Amino acid sequence: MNVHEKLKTKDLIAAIALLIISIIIYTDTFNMKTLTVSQVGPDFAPRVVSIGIFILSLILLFQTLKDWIMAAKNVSSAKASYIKDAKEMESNKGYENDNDVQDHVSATLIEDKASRWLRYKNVLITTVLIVLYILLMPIIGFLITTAVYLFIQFCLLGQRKYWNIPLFLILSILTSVIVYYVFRLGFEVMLPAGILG
Amino acid sequence: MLADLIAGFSTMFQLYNMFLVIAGVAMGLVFGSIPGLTATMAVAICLPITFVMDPSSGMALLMGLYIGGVSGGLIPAILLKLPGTPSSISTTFDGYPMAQKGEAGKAFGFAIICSFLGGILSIFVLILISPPLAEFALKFGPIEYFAITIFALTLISSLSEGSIVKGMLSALLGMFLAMVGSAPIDAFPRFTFGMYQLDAGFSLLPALIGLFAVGEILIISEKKINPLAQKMNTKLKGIGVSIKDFISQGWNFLRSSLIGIGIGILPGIGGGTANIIAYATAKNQSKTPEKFGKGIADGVVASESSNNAAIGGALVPLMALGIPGDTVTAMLLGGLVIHGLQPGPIFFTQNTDIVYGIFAALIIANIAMLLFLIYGMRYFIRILSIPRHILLPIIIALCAVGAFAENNRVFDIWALLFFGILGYLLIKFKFPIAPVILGFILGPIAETNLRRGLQLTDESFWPFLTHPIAAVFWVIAIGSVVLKAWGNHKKKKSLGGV
Amino acid sequence: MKFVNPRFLFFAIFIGMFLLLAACSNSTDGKASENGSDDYPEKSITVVVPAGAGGDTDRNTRTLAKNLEDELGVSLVVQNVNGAGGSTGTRQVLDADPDGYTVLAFHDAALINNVLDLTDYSIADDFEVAGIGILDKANTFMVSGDSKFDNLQDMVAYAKDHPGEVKVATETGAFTHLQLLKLQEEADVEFNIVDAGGAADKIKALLGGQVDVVPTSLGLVQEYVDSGKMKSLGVMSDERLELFPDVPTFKEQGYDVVFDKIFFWAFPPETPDDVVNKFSDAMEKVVKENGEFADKLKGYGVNPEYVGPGEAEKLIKETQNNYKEIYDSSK
Repeated sequence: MNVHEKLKTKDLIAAIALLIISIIIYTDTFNMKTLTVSQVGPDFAPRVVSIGIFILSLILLFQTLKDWIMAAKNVSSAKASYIKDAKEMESNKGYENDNDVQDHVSATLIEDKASRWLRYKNVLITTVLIVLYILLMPIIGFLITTAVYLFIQFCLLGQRKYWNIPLFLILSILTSVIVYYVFRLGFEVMLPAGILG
Repeated sequence: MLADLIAGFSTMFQLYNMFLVIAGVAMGLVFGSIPGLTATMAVAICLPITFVMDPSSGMALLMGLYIGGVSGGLIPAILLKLPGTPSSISTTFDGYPMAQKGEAGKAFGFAIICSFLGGILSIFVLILISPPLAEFALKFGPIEYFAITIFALTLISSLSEGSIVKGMLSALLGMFLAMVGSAPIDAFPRFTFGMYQLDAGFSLLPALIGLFAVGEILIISEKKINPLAQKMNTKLKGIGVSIKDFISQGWNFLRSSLIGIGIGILPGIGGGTANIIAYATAKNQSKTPEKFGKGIADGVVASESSNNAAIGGALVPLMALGIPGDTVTAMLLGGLVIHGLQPGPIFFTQNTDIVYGIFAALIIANIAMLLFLIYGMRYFIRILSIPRHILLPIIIALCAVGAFAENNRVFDIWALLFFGILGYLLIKFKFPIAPVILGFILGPIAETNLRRGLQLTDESFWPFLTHPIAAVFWVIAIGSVVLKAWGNHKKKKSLGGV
Repeated sequence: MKFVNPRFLFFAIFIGMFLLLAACSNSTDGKASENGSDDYPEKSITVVVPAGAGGDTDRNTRTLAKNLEDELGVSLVVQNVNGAGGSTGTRQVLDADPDGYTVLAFHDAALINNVLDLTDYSIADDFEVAGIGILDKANTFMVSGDSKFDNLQDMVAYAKDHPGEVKVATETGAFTHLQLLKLQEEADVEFNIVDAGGAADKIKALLGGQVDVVPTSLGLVQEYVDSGKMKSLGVMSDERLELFPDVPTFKEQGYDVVFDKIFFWAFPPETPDDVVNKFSDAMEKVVKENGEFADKLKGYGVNPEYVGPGEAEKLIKETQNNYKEIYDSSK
């Protein structure tokens, strides 16, 4: 699977997802309660927006399908779309980062499925970690949860061989304590209290 | 007037007040530079302290915070691609690429100097012509606001690299997300699916930080980080910017500052929107728009001049009419009211000691900001040498604090995560993020003003097009869309039709 | 950093000032409670204000809070929790721990939220009302300084002849909205009711000429009256106000429309009675005995008035029923 084809699937998924979302939004507008009587009520703008999303995602869908079909048909068209994609990727560089540049490079070879799943796995773990962090904060308190979170996150993000456990420990506890005290006592901003506050 | 100004300065030059201004700038810079903490929060936190001070001193502190808070955002924007505050969103577009190219010094130089000059320019406008300017701003009613927001939304096309369809989808998505919560006017909840925590909708801060900061961090988390692989050019010589460089940016600076002042003057729209609009305009008007987003100084100049200029702009209606121009000035209003002072036409002409004290404080604060940032530049760069796997988790923790502290709800931290995941998905699916924020901010303004306007005109849409000021914006909006489409068409033709 | 050159010094000063400021922000936390046997309050109390900073609600709350700090001996941290017509803030207090360290400071908008079914809980029935500390009796309708209406009767007469024309700005579903509904009913007229937003937005709409009439609190707009930019059509109080003796009441002018804005403080449901009473006593002391407080309020154009827990609850209930009637009959 080269870059060219991968792009298309993503757009396809996005287009369909947005299509579905727009329909959900539109149908939900019929449940709205109003206080005022007017032609343009609280349902107006959401409807306009959902219709907009609907139309645009249809356009996206057609664009995607069109290119896909052309690519499947003959080589020269594929090459042309590839050039267009490369141009698009070129101009998309504004919000890409190192990872995607790597992506581009490795994509000209055969994509290593294993490494792709590894990437998603990493993101998932980080996300789950953050979820736990937020969940536990009101219960155990900001101080402890933040220290624990920081420590684990340091380990998760850094490569194994660069782990510096003592440093991580000190930093996570220190940061947590400093932030807590500066905000809680200094600024009297209430941070979630818990066992240890 | 000059005598008043001198009197104002003499009040400010007292040791106590000077300390307050400078400390305020320092604290403001710290708040501004940490994604998740903003100028608004800094002012909110320090507001109670000012109640026990006398008004001039209180204002001195708050002005320092305001200026520091808005300016501080450029630091993480350039170094880490994370906007420190909503006012520095577009600084990330070009400031970060510049730093990546090793031009961090140049980026900082431009950003800092433009922040300073933009701020000073707007302060002069504030001092010299605020009463008539404020009167003019009053003429902007719902109909005019609607026209302006629609015009601003047409600039989305300039912000989306590549596919315009995706850019528009992003914007619409942002608008939809802003609609979650209480409907404007009727106040009944929309799209909350029964969750009452959503009644108030999503706040801008968790949305912004979630999309830009958390989303970015999630992308980075895909790969384990090798700290040694981060080699950044951490050397900075001088200010990084030559006089010649600067003069070539002259028109850009002026235009962006004027945009900042103009938008700041309009109550309800502030620095967060100003910098995006200034950036988009700069890109539209540039002879080399394709260079934007890859690290061109113009982008940084546009963004940073406009956001500081918006400060002076927001103070115009506050001082002249007692109507706050943005969230920070709303709190400043509260700060003055508690002292028994009511800003407004009489206040402006009678309480000249306080008014000019404020002006003096603003100028001093700007200078302090300039000095802090210039001297601090070489230290900020060192932030880059902190290994990412240590820096980023700390930032996330701070973002969580920032999200929570605004309204004291854990829900806001969940919102932060939600937007972070959304940002991640958008980046993965190659959708631009900037239009989402633009839609998120401008959508509600457009909708509310459309409905209010229609109430005023008895449901007729015609006046929307014919009100003079509104009409001007419609023309500009339609004109720019047409020009853009025509330009694209010509470009396609010359490319030989791919 | 090994160098001790001026740059480093500069940076150190920067950090030093920041920390100093942070330390200063900590005002009165931790002052020991002066009361002998009772423990409450021992730490700082959070005051939730469902309104934005800079408005009259915020101002009234902060003023009272500041004075209460001296009485109670702990710091009161005011938190603005804006959104959804005030229901986000009231909900937050509703769900808070009933330990006496979270209190709601709000006004009639909370009652109206319930009437409109925006919230399913009511202040009188669900919260533990500590009392009322401030009454704003100076609710008025303002017109621009050069308006053709000089008083209420002019305006009503015009409205009668031109139904749906007089543009009156309000915040839909809020206190001012009800005032309009009541007047429409009493005077049998129809205005063009336009939503404009909060206090500052309404002022802006009037000054900008987009609307004709704006209901607001006289204390908020005194500046504009003095400078000639606005004039008042009348106040919605029972009798003429001490603070504004030249302004006739609506009643005088023939329309029985009386609205006092009640600023109450309430604790979450199940908060123990002695805690509530302690707090209420402190309120009473400040409102009745604190001269400085009274003067400040005078400056704002509002009245210090204390109503104790039981009475306040009754008054709030009555007021809410009143609002319900007004709203129902307008439908």
